[in-house]
Amino acid sequence: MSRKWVEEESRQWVERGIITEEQRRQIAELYPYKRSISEKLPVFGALLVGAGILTFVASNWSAIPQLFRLLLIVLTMSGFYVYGYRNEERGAKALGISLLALGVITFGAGIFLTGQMFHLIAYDARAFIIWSLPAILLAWMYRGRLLYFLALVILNAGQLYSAISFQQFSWLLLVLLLIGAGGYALQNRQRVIFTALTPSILLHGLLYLIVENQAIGWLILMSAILYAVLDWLSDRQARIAGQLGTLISAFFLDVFFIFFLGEMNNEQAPLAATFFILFAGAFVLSYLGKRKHSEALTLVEWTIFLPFFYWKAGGDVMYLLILFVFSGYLLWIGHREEWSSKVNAGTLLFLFSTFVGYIQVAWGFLPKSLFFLGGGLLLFVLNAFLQRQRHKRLRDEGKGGSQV
Amino acid sequence: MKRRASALFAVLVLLQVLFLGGMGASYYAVDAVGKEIRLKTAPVDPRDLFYGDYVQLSYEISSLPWSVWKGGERPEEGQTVYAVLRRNEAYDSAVAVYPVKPQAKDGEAILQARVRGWGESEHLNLLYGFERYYVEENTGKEWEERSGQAIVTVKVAPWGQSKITGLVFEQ
Repeated sequence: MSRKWVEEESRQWVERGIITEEQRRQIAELYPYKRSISEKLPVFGALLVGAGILTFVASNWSAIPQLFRLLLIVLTMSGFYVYGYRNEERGAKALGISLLALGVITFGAGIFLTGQMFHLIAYDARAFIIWSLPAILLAWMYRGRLLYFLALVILNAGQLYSAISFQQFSWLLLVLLLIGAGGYALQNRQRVIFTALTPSILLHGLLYLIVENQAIGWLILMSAILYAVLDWLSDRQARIAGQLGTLISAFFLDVFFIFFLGEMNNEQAPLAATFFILFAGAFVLSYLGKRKHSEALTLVEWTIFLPFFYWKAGGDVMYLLILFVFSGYLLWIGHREEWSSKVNAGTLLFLFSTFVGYIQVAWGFLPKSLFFLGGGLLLFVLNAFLQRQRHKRLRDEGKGGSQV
Repeated sequence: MKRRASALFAVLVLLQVLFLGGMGASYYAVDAVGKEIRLKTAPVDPRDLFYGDYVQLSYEISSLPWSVWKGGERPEEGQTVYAVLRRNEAYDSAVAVYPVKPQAKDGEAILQARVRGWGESEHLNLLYGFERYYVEENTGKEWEERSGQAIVTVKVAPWGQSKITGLVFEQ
């Protein structure tokens, strides 16, 4: 709810004698002013200038002598840093952080420009490792979310580059991601920081599996373990946000299995004994964590991790079913907690599941038609259920003594 | 506390400046004191030559017969090895490849390389780190008209760094 809305609405409350003017003021104080879009402008400005610098370097600006190019880069970088530092000091945090981020981007441009000047290729992720260091350190020093995201982008891009160009996995990049970015997330428990972190970790996991020619099914285990570990995080918001990242990653992994399970052979499944021992361990860990926070109900979320890829014949149907169960669950819990982003995510994923189901139907009509029907009926049932919940809530509120 | 933070910031920026400056300076030093070698590239297919703004180069010394390998067991992928080059008419070619850095004799140059390729390769495939030659943007067409073998001059510093200083196509 916005401050403005509260201020407008509460005027009536005073007029009707529900609250006093003093109480109205106190209530309004609880809602900070939403930061206006103009405060975001420096961020967009930073992104545009950053893009400009990168294209500038890429175009190999041939007219300028090499030594001057390097000098120009170093001066630009120092300039961004110094002005960023000064603005940060005098309290213009958004602008300061944006300028610092530009400094980091220029540093990266400098690394690649020097490489180009001397016709070098590094056959590993070294350049990205060095580039990520100032981003991570500055994010830590100045608590800048933009710097954190920049660090994530550099680390992810570095791992992708290493995997695609050299078929190598950089352990150092993973360590930097876990300690540098993961540590930052633990210090600054904002939702979006966590939601971005867990899929990044899983991206590194996926690239490791591809480079090492391992079964993709291991990624399900990785998501499950990450999810279970997060269950021990005491901060509820951060826990849920991080777990949402793992759940959505697993959701799309399930979609992958729906389409490609039929084309995989047995060697492409993880070693069952190891898988199930670790999977059971993660489940117990998760259960104990949930019990501590008395959230045992959310164990339902584990359905998304179930390893049906071992069952060649019916795995795809099971996964399709799971997509519906999971998105339905997200819708339901979103309504229960009145957490609108969960309701929206649930609705989107439910529609997406129906779409995936539809594509599957195009291949094998009969067995899945029943399934499709089930999805539609489920939607009706869910709708009826949600409507009833809403009516109930409205009735309760009408009685006056409502609990939310 | 505040002082320490600003000192830390200054050090962080200084390190980045030093890194870029040092990288530049070291390669200028290679120019100044490095020993020049001339390498023949493998025949280049002009169609494969360009993607982006650089020429992808493959040298005669990039793919060597196993007879030059002096290390007993075959090296693993990614292992660091040392190639000994000797001038032979107009350009240099590899006479031996060692798993540890050998002592350079007169008229020889030593290049650090990395083993490329999986399993039982027919040749000893090596990467030197100068397989890329950046050209000015939009000059791809001009370069494409030249084809065949090129002679690349590379400077090698005593401490192992190397860089391309020129590329000439044979007429």
